[in-house]
Amino acid sequence: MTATLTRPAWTTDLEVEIFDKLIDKHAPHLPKTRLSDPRPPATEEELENFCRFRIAGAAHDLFIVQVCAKVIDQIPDLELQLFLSRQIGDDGAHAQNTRQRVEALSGHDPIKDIQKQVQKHWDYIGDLPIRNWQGFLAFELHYELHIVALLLLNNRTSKINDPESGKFAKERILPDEAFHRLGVVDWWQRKYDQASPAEKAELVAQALEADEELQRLRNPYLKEHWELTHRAIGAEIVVLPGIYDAWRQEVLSYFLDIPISKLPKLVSVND
Amino acid sequence: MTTTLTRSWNTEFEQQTLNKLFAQYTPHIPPIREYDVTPPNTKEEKSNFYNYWAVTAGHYLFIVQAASKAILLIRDPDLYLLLSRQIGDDGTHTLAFRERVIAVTGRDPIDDVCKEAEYHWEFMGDVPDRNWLGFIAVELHYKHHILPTVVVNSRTSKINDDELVEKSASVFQPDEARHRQAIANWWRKQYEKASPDEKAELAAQLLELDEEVQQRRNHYIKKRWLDARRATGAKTLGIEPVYDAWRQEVISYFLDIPNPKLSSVS
Repeated sequence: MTATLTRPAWTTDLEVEIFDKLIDKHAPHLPKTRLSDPRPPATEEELENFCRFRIAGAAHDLFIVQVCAKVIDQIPDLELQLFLSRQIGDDGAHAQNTRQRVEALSGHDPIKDIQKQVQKHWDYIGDLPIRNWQGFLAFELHYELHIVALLLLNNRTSKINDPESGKFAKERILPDEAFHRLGVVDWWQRKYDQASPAEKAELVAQALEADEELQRLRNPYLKEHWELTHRAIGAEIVVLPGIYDAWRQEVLSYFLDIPISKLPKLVSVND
Repeated sequence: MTTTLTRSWNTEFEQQTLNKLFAQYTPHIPPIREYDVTPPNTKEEKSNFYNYWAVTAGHYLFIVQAASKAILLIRDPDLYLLLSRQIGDDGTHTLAFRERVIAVTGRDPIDDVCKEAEYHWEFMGDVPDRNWLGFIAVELHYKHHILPTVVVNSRTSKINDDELVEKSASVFQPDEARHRQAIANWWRKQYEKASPDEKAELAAQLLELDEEVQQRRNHYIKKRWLDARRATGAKTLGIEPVYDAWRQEVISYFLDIPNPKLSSVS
């Protein structure tokens, strides 16, 4: 929106470009595109794992709905409020679609399990996302941007998927999520542009600190979720920690406009 | 998801009931739109247009804020999901009004939209997030009781923006109808589960809150009718009995009370 960027705009093309660069470095054996279509879950065990994986996805979305709703009137920035209302609507719709797909596949409404998984997010994260703008920014970065490394890797290497869910993801979820990432970038950019040089340095330091705190809180959840991802859809996760750390570095470097070489050493997902 | 309700809210019920009430109290309001709108031309018309739609956007922004605040008052994921849709839609409506105001008048109403949302918080006080029933009363007023006003405006406005009229018919009104249906059926699900004692208690509390909100909104509602007449030429004159009777129908549906005694907007 504001044209003060001295670097290319954050786009899905740029994301793929960065991601491919990281694949070359960390996992050159992995394909750059999907080699074969995923197949639907076949055995009872596969179906059960797949549903658990999807329930975790719906919980991720419903957790975002709850956090954004709590924050919306705490930050007096109308542009941000309108952006968050869209994010709430979109992520609620994604959760609802997942709920319906799991019900269709498993024969029962998973809403109670979804809510239980939402509670796990609150349990590990505490009040960080709703404490102040720094915490909320870190939350948006982790839940919308840092997660992209996992999503891209899943997208290229998963072996099992539900065709209906795949179609909904392609037509609705992916464009929505790309829009959300842009919204987060825009919000930060507005905040950053309005600050004086001294304030800018302070904003960057605070944003980084909150992002690091959330990484530490989130590590056990990520590890568990990646295991589930591998079990349920067969996605590649062995190389993920290295790619995840490098991806997060790239995001923060872009976001805070600091060259990677000047960034402090970041908390690793393996810490 | 598959609970069977003894009464389920739908658009047929809305249309039949409203048409009956319009025929009874305001026969001058036609059942369909009878003429095209003209865009605002004079300086005064444009200024009225700006004010009216900035205020409308403020209404939507307020309900975005109120629903967001209230969403966690009730620990029910079903409600989270239906409110997330409402919040997303109402944010989109706010943005749509803002964009049309900019397109037609050249002025970004963003500050006035915020001020208007703040004004709603002033006269509504803590009702939206006092407790979950307070929020339901707010939903009733902002989604259900307002319907006759919306219908009169959409059928009889003379000065308006073509794009807004089109969007209102194809997007805003179907969205609003879904919101009314979702919240009404969610309420019925809770209400029908309750024991007779709980039901009596819920009904008494909601009735009291609905009346409180009516008192808080009376002044605003009357001013909006006047502003609609001035800005768009809508035939809001004499709409009071329709408003009162429709509100009775809504409350009667929600609480299973045949002829609830309610105060009048007048």
